[in-house]
Amino acid sequence: MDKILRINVGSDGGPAAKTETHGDYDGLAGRALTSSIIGKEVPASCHPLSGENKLVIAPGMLSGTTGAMSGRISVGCKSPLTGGIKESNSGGQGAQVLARLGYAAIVLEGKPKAETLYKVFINKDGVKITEDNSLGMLGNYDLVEKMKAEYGDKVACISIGPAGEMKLSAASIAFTDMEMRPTRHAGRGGVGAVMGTKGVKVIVLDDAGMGMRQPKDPDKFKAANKKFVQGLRKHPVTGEGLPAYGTNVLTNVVNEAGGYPTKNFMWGRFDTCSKISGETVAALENERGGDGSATHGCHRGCVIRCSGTFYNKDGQFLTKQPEYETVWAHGGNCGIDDIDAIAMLDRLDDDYGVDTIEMGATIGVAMEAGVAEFGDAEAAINLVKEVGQGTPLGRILGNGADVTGKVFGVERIPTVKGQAMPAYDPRGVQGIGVTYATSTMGADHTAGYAVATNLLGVGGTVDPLSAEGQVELSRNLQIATAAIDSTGMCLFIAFAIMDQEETFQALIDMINAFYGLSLTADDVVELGKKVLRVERDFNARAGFTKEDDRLPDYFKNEELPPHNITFKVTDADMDQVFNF
Amino acid sequence: MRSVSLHIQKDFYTLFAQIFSKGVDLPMEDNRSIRDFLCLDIGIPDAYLDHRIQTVFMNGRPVDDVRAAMIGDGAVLALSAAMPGLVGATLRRGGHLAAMRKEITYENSTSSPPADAIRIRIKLFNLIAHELGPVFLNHGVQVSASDMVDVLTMFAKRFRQDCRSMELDGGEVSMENLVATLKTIDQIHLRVVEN
Repeated sequence: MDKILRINVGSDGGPAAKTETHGDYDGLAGRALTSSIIGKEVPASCHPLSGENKLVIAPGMLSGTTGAMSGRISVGCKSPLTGGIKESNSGGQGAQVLARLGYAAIVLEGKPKAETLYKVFINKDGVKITEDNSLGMLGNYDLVEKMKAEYGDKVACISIGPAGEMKLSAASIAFTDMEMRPTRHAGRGGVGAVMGTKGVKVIVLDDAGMGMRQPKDPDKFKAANKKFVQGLRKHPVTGEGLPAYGTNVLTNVVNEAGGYPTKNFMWGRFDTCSKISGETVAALENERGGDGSATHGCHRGCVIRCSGTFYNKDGQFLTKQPEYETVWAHGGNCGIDDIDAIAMLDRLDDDYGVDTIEMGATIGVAMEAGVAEFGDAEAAINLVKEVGQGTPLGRILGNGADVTGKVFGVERIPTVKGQAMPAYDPRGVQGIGVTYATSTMGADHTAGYAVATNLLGVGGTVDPLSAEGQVELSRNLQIATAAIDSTGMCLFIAFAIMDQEETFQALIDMINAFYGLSLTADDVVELGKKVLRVERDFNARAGFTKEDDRLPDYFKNEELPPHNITFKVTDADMDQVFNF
Repeated sequence: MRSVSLHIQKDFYTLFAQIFSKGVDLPMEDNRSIRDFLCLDIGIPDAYLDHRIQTVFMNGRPVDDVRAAMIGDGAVLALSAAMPGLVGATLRRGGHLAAMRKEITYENSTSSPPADAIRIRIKLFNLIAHELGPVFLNHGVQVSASDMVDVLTMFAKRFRQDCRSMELDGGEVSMENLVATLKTIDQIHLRVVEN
């Protein structure tokens, strides 16, 4: 994994591919690499849909190895949704296959001279770029079936649906899973629209003939990986809760805490959430049966297996097990408690290639505006279909909650830097509100994840029960998360490495054994800080100021039932988050 | 209140996940701490409470100290295992991220009026429902009749297959008749026995 593939789609005579070494980016992977390339090579003031923007797709440090949980892939660009830097990552097979092919990154550059669609095929022999306008406006599912017929079922696809082609700001990039279905998405920030501007409909990766990436010290790597897997399996979250119920296990708990945004963030509880909770959905999936029903991995090498497969009432595959954020966005946030309807919305989102969080939040805003009634599942499905069809209403909705709110005159728009908030009301858990407000990415629940700040020693120790600490914790978590995102490890390892020091050490040992390094926790922290500095610098050059690091006013003014609280962290405190 | 008894052959707890998510009602003799209620009254081992029940809510507020938090009449107690996600970690009992949710953290009331006969609602989530659900169902709980209808409808095939008998007020009843009756009442006393 020592080369970067650059494809200039604007070259005379059509797209031109060239391969170069890591160069200035040596040692970087995942988010560290995508953000570094964007920070250095993309003019911060450029239009996100212009030829000056670039799309960077980079696997993690350990992707393509036998290391467990190493299959996250990072996508970076200037975001059409936020106007700032964007890193959106995904599971699926893409990271493992791309890394085994030896690429640290694919960079799409320039702008095609004509309205042409391309498919890119990459295997051990090189890169082939073909014009194929027959792929135009295909949904991701039909597109992948077509690729399967052409290249077989052992390849991995990276693709956009109609939303990406229409350059909608909520457009995602799909990554195929182990069953070669386009169910995994780099969803946030409109990265699919940037791929659409490059005219690249699909990248097909074929790693036939390529072996696993080999560590510098195979014995140490194997031992560390074994210890790492043992740690994941014995922890109640990664070894039991996530496999049994998936991420949707959070529905009941967040609802009980009164922090479950309901009907466009008007309430903190959804009365009928038990109908769509992880426990109920897992029971239903087990009842309906089928391969990988309630417990399934999204890529090879996953030992947590937090995903699943959702079959409809007739036992036919509909979509992957909808994630917590999806169930919330299309469920409680829109007053919908029909899991089959929510699964259908997830399927449509994946097929058209749009971010489920952004779409659910957008429909919530549209429902508040009276475009449809809260709770009307059929209307919600029809609204998403409008997006896929590219009707005028669909194009408004497909540009996200901010645009939709402005068009329909809604005051309650739950966004930061133009990006919709995920499934946790910041008035309930105010520390996450600090992260929503200050993240370089816009409102993002994974920007300051529950990473082992206690073990990393980021920023010292914060008394868990003190009245203070929101800002310090958010800062520490954002630093640690930026570092983990750069390794390409699934963020769900966070719980095991937070609680089990030996599992955290096993992760460091894996990286060191693979690269022949002697990284310490301090080095990991420094990497996280470096990534954040690059991203903050880009955003500052793009015109962001501290005034953009704020939640919408209504969170400070409107009390959230049932606890009837407002967001209380002051602007002055918020401005201290990046004081490192 | 009408009573329903089910005799189920095997592995039935998941069928009742939705009911435990909404909560079941139980009588309690007196105000007492969460620890005393769970460990002394219900018989849950201390170690299970300390290590397995990582997330506790009283009236929708995360609890850090189960010894100090007193359960009073009408309280809603919710129990969960450790949860994923930043918010999941934040809601844990006394976790190092607890400061992030200090605005909603449960604070003990200094004066709970004494009571002779009180009722509480208990909600069991995820792994805890799996593990403690059978204990409560075997003991008997009060549940919403309409929730029971939902469960019988959603898992009709399983109930037909694995439920050896259904009783309404002590007399055997068919599933169709039970559902029809449940649709006419509000609450039932439910007992489920595995045999």
